[in-house]
Amino acid sequence: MDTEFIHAFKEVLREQFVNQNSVEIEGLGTFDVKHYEQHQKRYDTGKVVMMPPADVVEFKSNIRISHEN
Amino acid sequence: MKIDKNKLVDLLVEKTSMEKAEVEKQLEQLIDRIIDAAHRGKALEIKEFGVFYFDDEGELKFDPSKELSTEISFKYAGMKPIELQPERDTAIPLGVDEDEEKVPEEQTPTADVAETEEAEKKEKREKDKDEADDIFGIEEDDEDFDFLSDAVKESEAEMDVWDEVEKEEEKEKKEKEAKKPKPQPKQKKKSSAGIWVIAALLLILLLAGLYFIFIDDGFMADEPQQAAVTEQPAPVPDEISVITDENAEFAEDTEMTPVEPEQEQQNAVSEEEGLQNDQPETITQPAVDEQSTYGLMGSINDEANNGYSIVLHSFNSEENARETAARLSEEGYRVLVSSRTVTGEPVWRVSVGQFETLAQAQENIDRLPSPYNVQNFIHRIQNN
Repeated sequence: MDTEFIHAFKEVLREQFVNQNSVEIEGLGTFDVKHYEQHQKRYDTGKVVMMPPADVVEFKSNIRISHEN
Repeated sequence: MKIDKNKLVDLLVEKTSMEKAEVEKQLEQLIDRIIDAAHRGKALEIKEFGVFYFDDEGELKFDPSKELSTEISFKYAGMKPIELQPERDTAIPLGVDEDEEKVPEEQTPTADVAETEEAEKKEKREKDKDEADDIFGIEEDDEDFDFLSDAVKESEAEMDVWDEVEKEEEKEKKEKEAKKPKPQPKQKKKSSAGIWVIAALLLILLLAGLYFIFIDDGFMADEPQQAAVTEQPAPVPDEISVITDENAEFAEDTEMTPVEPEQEQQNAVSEEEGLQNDQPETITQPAVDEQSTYGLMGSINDEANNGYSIVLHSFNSEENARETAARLSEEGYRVLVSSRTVTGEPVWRVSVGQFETLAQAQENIDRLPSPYNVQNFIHRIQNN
């Protein structure tokens, strides 16, 4: 596999993610960028924390392992 | 906006010197490799991008790498969860309330208990203060960072000394004032407002003077601090991996390594060690080299384009960006101008400094003059 291609692939996807675009690659899945507002979270220990906001990449795919059974 | 496969291919063609057919072929190969590796029960890692694997339910998953996550969430870089005191509703833990301080007095059965409670309060207050300092602080607890905060404490201590000097002088002044007006009590009332104004002016002048003296001291204190920062990088493995990555970019950087998910961590470590052995000269070279590679001031070093930079301006036109960049570089900064596409519009970002890690970039924000020290964000330098 070509190094230049991989490099460009990473660069293009990164740019699209930063611009909040979702990228759908047929035969693989869809990358989505989701924004999370800051929110309170309670741990089991009773500790309450304020989580900072974040932008996160999420990947969804309908490809499933085929040789499981 | 949604990018489908066709659009992606177009973007890739733009980015590379390849023909469309070639790009399509490569993309298919990549997808095949990902799925193939996943089917063999392995995870496929694309360095500085992420890992593809099948989870326990047999679904294809992708975990973004730390670099990718950081870059996408660049607006919130360095933010950390803040612990909230359960009894408080406010988002930010404040200092101890006055009410709380009164409580022990009412409920003190013996002096001993009161003392311990007081001590506890003190501890708690200190802890609260630490926490407040920590809010959305920097995640990396580097040694140099600790050192820096020590330095900050030292300078605070220095401040206190100055405060004391100030207070003494103030006291003297007040004594003089007190002596002066006694013989003319009638005049005192008339001119008391005037005296206060003069006193206030004197105080301001005094403060300004102290401020300049302190600044001079601050610069002198800065130098050893800087040296410490630049010395520090060599032993940290993180740094090494960045340096070696760059040198071995074509061989290692983009190589895809199928690994067992559990062994990933170990593999990464051993790989780093391997690289260390391969290139001893990079590691044994001390801070001198480091200083010229990364930094806020000076001229641009192309080898340092694998790191982070502090963005100060964003323009719609390249011309304006170049003008501002020229002005900044006259002031001695390392200035980078780069174009990005934000919400479909091209923007020109003017950024200063080249830093190896986010933490280093964040530390250098404090060195920027106002308003840059508050109006900025850090982005990753893109070298192609």
